[in-house]
Amino acid sequence: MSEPMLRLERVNSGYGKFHILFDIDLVVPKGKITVVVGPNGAGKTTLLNTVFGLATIHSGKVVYKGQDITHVPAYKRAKMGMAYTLQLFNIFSTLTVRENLLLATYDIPEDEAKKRMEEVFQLFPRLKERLFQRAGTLSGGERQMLAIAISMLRKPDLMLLDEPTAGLAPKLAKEVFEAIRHLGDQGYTIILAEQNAKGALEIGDEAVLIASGRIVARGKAHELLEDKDLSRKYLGLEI
Amino acid sequence: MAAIDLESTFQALYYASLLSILSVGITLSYMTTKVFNFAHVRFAMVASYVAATIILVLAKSFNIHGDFAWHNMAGMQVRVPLPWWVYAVALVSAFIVGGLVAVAQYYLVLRPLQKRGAGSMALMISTLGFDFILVAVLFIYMTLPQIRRLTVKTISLVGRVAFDSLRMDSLDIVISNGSVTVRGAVILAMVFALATIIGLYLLLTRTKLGVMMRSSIENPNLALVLGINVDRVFAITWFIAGAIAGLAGYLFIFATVYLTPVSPTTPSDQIIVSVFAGSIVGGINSVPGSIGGGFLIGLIEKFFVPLLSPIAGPGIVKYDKVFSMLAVALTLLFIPEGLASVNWRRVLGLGRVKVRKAEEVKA
Repeated sequence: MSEPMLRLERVNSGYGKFHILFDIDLVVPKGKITVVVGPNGAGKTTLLNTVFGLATIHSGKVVYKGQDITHVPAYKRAKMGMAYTLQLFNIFSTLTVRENLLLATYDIPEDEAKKRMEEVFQLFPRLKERLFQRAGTLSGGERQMLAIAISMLRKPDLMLLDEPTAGLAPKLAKEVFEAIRHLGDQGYTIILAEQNAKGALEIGDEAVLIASGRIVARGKAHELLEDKDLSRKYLGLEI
Repeated sequence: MAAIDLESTFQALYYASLLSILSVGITLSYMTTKVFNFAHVRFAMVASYVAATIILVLAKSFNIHGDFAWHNMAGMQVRVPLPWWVYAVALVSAFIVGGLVAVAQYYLVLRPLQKRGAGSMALMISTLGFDFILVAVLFIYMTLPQIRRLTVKTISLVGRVAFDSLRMDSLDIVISNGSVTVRGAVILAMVFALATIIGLYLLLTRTKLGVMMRSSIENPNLALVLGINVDRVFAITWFIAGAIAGLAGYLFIFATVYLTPVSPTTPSDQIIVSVFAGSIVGGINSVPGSIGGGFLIGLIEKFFVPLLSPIAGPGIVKYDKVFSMLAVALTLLFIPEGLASVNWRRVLGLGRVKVRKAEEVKA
């Protein structure tokens, strides 16, 4: 079995003195979409923040591509191949779509940047249509596409997506999920934290269920979705 | 007739250029920490003391006697009291020292307080505290001969050199065409202002550092996510803001007869309010806005207010700051984001439509 992309070993983390996550053990396999679901306030965003280095780790270890990165600062984790699509304020609103995409490739050679942009436009053709539009004036769905595109342009080894369908109409949410599944099919390793548990579990490979800062269930995404008790109790889903 | 002449015009341009240089530094530091830095203009004072000391020490160390003769250069009469390299060393020192003092404030005062969760009011007061510290240091330097002699002895290149005060006005470059005499500091101020505009434009739009600065200022979290060391970028921005203030500090040297840390005639205390006014009027979140705002406030105080003296009497010039404060009040009331936020194309476009209508009516 190949080395997983990411391992969290008995991680306890939070923000400053506040303890949010308790004894988290998590393995994220390469090339798969790992879905993190749970009710509001469960700790999904904190989990992603912990992986990226934006939360305080009180104890435990974060191992990424075989390296202990527990105390590595966030900006260095980005340079090590992690990309994080934040839930909020995830684009440069006062800049145009083009400027946002150019900023995302600030440290990439021009030829390579152009090639990556073409890949992005194939997945999100709407962004090409809106190239010179100010990002702050895009619709909710387009903003999320732009935010994901910014992450894609980094060609990350590990992509973290924090509730990319939050606040989107069902049709747009479906488009975003399809785009994420497409990225998974291309071999991206993705951790997807989602409120929209059904939509996320339908496209995911692996899944964990978090409640009150602890992992209460884990397994294949479709298995979690088909577990009626769990779905009803934690996700409010009637399967 | 308006109480303004060519020399006064040059003085007004000098002052306006100085304000534009200082206002942009306030804006740069505000954009990173969202705090008005009350110590900003003091960076310029520290830089001016360092530069003045270096000029005097170099002059005395190399036994340079001021050359106060007039020389013909490109058809103009020029007096350059000291060798060019002395001015150059002093200028570079002012630039670097201004930047270093700013970085010291960022790392020693602001960043630790921000990490402890200090609010903007606490941070603003801390900048005032840092300002007091800088004033105290300058006072100690100027009033304790032992400290001054020790400092001079340390940096002097040939043995002990003593001086009791920093008298600089006679060491400025002077250019004359026979009828008009201009001091070098006046020309330099405008050159520095232009260089600051061009330099910042090129830095922010054409360099990788500029891209990193713009993204870190716009959205620090997202910049972090893109792998930018936002903390270091902010520190560099502070260095640039302080270094630009250092340029202004170099210009201060020749603006007063004696450099003193705090007195009613101290350059930095006189202009701190105007510098803030320039930043606010131009746009506290806009680099080009603050440059323009600083220049505008400078012109208001030193060019337009004197024009009122035939109507209001010569005493009106003492109230020049009232007019800048009025400009600030009007800006905050009607365009709180400053002049840079105005859609000037639309404003000018509206004007054109009105003209066309009038022409149509005439036809």
